Amino acid sequence: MAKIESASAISTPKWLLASTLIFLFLRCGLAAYENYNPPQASDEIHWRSPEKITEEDRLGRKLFFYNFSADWCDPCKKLDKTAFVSKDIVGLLERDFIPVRVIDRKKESGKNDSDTQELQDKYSVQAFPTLVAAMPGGVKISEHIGSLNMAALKKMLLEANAVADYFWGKEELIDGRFAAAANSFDSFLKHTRWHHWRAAFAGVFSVLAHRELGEEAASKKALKDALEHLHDPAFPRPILLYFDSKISYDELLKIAGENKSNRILCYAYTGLDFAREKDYERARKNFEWVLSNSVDKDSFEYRICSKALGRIESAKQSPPGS
Amino acid sequence: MSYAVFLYTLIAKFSNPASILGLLFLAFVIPVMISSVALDGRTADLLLSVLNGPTIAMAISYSFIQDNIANTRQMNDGEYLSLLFSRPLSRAEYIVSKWLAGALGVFCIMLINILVFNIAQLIQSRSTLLGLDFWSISSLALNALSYAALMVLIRSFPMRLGMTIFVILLYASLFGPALNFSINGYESSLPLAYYFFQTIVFISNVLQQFVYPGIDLYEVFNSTRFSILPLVAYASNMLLYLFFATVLLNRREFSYGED
Repeated sequence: MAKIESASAISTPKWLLASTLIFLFLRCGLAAYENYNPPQASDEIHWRSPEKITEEDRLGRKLFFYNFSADWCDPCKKLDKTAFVSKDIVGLLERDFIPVRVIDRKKESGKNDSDTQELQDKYSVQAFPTLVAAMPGGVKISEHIGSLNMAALKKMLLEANAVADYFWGKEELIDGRFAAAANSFDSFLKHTRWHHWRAAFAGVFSVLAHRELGEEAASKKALKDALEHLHDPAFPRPILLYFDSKISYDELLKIAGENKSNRILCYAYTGLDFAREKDYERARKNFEWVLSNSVDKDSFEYRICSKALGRIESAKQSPPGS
Repeated sequence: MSYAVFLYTLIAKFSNPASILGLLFLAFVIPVMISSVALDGRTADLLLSVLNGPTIAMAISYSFIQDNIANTRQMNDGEYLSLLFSRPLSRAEYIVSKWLAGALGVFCIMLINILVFNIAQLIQSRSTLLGLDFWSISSLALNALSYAALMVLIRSFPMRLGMTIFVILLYASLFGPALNFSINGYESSLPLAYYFFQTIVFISNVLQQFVYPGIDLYEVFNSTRFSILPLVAYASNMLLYLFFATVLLNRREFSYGED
């Protein structure tokens, strides 16, 4: 059978040919033009180097955002061209963070300067780019290894902001500033609505802080909210049940079993409660157990027990009524 | 555009159980799996880049735009294309119809993917959700059009060549998110592995920049250094794919009723 096709059926439409050529030339032309005249930034991040961080910054309330990178790192350059030129990101970083760019010079110079190396060691940086959101005191809030897009970076920064209240609360609890700690944890729980994985511990800390302030009603409410929202039977729920007098101290320790981490949590948090009730002997035993069994000396439990032990010793030495 | 070809392309996906199962797997099973296993941040980022990236979009559009345009006798459709082009239907119309049908299919399946993933996340009380705002839906629609155009071109090649190219592009799209960092000191400890790694990264970057026709409208319009080059590059890629697909099909000769 003969072929049945007219010339028009097998011809490329003129609109397709024309638009393809136009866009191709436009693309090549624009690429060449922007190579020599890159678009100007309407706003940009004012990165600091590690040696420019002042003591005032470390004592302030702005979080630190570290961008560990290297000049030879292609994903770092990609990040600079994509995520770090977003208006939202620039606004967030300038308003709520102290942005610090830490550039690795080992490949070029053989070694880094002391500030750079100290930061890399502190945050165990093995690859570039590594993005770290941290408290002014150095406690890491979140970390991301590798390049990421604008939306993901924005999410990381917003989450760090929301979680910052949790970390502030912990520092305030360690320092004995219970009113501020209670506010911080309550604010954190209000923003995250118990969806965050740290919410369970924030609930425990909120209860402890309110108890220290003698705010029984607030403490009971915090306890009730925590037990209502936290159904996972794993720790720290048993600690909340103990605070609610649903289980005894011995039952709590039995649930903790031989698991060292759970025992540390039990002894640390119940120790704080014993200290509040002025049962200093039991509190001291708990704190000493935590201090001798904690591997990580920077952990929250170690630090709070260490400070609380100091407060107990001061309280014992103070004359009664002072 | 030919509405008959457009509708046939869409309906044909639901004409046999294997296709339906494949669609169900892509639309429902994969997002639920990703939601279940993405427990830490890094795993979540990697898997979400698969869900939201070119890999699944290419797989869906490849399966929608069936009828390997180059081969007819080798496919079970017999002389389908020969019969089709004996009708008053230009080949460019055929390409455009296939493209639009594929784009609509990709858009719908990707939207379902996002919805199912978000529902799975909410059920597990997790906060990581994929955005469904104006920017993300617009980007989804534009990317559906461009990936469908790429797959129309790939389907225009002879079957073996087209499938080889498709597989290479698919696997390269998986490498991208996994290779978005440089390891410190890697090159001195394992130089061969380092150079192999760098080669893979280079190939992936070239494909990302010049072949994968995706665009993120939020990134383009939210940038402090606004440039229309990404939009122009996106349109240029898509038009090039459609143009070459039309040219390749125009070169084919179809004769219906050959002995």
